[in-house]
Amino acid sequence: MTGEVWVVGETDRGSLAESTPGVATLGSAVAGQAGLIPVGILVGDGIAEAEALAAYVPHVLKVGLPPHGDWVDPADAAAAIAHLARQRGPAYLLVPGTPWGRSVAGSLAARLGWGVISNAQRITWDDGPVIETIVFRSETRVQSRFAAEHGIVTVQPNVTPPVKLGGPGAFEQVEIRLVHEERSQVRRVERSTVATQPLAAVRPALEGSRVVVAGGAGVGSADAWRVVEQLADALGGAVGASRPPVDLGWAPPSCQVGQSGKTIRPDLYVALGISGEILHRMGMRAARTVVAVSLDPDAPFRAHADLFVVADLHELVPALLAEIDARHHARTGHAMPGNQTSACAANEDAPWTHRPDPAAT
Amino acid sequence: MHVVILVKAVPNNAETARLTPDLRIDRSAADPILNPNDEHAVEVALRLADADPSVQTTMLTMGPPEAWGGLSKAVAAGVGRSVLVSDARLEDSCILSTARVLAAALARQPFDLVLGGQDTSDGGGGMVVAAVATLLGQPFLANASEVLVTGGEVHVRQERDDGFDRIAAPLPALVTVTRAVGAFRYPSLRSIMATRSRRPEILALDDLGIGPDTVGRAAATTRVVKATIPEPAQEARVVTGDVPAAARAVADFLAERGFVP
Repeated sequence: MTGEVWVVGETDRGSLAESTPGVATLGSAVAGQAGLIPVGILVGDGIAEAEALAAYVPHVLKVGLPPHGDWVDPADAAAAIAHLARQRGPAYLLVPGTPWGRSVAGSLAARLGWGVISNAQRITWDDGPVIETIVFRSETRVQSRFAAEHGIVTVQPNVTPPVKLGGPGAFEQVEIRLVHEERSQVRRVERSTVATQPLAAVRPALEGSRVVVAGGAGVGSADAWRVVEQLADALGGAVGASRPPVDLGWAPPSCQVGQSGKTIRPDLYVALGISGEILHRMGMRAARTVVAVSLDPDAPFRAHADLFVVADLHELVPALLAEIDARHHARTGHAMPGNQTSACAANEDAPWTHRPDPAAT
Repeated sequence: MHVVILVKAVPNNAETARLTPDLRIDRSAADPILNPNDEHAVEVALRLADADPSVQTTMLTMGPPEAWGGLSKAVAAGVGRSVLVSDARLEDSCILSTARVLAAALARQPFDLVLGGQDTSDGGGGMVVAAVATLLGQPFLANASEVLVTGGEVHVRQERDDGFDRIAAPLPALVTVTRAVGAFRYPSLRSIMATRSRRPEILALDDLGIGPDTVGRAAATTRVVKATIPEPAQEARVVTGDVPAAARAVADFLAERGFVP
């Protein structure tokens, strides 16, 4: 079999989106197994984004469209990619399973008349791609195949750790002309940037953090979200979230852990008010130690945590903070500074775990 | 203004949802309900109708006749008209077939705004509405946390890591919403009783002018080849009881593993 496996890159405000490198690595691996050629596709004006994609997939086609600034409408991306696909005849298209990628993939399926399989966890090759997904609370692993020798796959972000290729990336510029009727009528009318909160700057980033404290629907409100941040600060960890707090605006999308968010591998994962459905656990099941606090004694985390606490998190977390504070005080003779004020405290109130240990000096 | 809500009936309890031996969703294992993310799309439609009594709302779905049992609560909450595309030849429709059928059903009726949930709790692909929009050649705006209809346009807010975007398109347009748009108004018992004899208009493939060889099993572009249910995992150490003792137990556990002093 000859042909190409395409990896569609997503851009995010002038950079390659963090969902893309892992998909590119998976695409290169599948192409390698299949004897196909991996090709990255980057729609948009950005040269830096195309070069960034080329660090993960050896051949990148940068598809120029009339300028949109740093925003590419998914329907325009799909129209351009469909044109290019008709010219070059790729076999399979891999797309990040993000909101943007899903929109592109759905539109591409309609334009090309190809099958589409969503939320791939794993792709292997057996005379064609075998796509593994996980469904239902029973976590049934489902393997699917395409009926034809082509298809579109959305890939769960962050399931494949990205691996950079040896050399610097290079790309080839391709011009696609969309006629007026093909252009999307969707336009961006406002781009709003919210100033980053001071304390977020001193908290570790979610990826790579040794400790993560995450909140879910059980936290209850944007105001109550502070308890998640307080415990994260007391443990020197990053803040994470399941999907409901992100959808409801309590936490930014960058905090989201799970199928449509990030995949992380911390030493300690503390879940507050998260039931532990598979879609969430897909993002954290590599955590070494999992502590879950839930009001529901039968929440899925009961079977997927190391310690499962049946309690109201709004009572438990303050008690736990006091307990941690007392233990710290007993050891050092100092109270825990991070616990003195709200999580929105000024910069100098960095969590105690970030400070030099007074007992050691 | 005509507002059409694309909805799906999904198996009620993810706990009991399963596949049949021939690897299809076992619809006998759980009662159908309105897909939870679609509830928010229904709510947006009802709010538009609250604000402007001339707004007409129609719910459109595709599924087996039993699907209706899960969708009637949207009618009780105030949705005006319901259309169910149901045909035995639609069984095993893939995402592309489903989009073709919904696009054909939309094409035969007036619409200014089409609303859907961001994805479903059973399939979870989140791609059908995008595909329908492309088949109809109309703008698609995904994952709206706010929906505003003004001056013949729809304006949508999308949440971003560092803030938000607002995107806009002329009507007619298709929009998917997140739960941030607001909670579904659960209907009162009185309105459930008052609407319980309502039934959807049923359309079959022939009504849509779709040939049976272009949808359903005959035209499926994808197929499930294997399904494995994992062994149940081992239960965690469980802490219950009064809060101070539970907090101490958690702190002890964290201390054992070196995360706190």
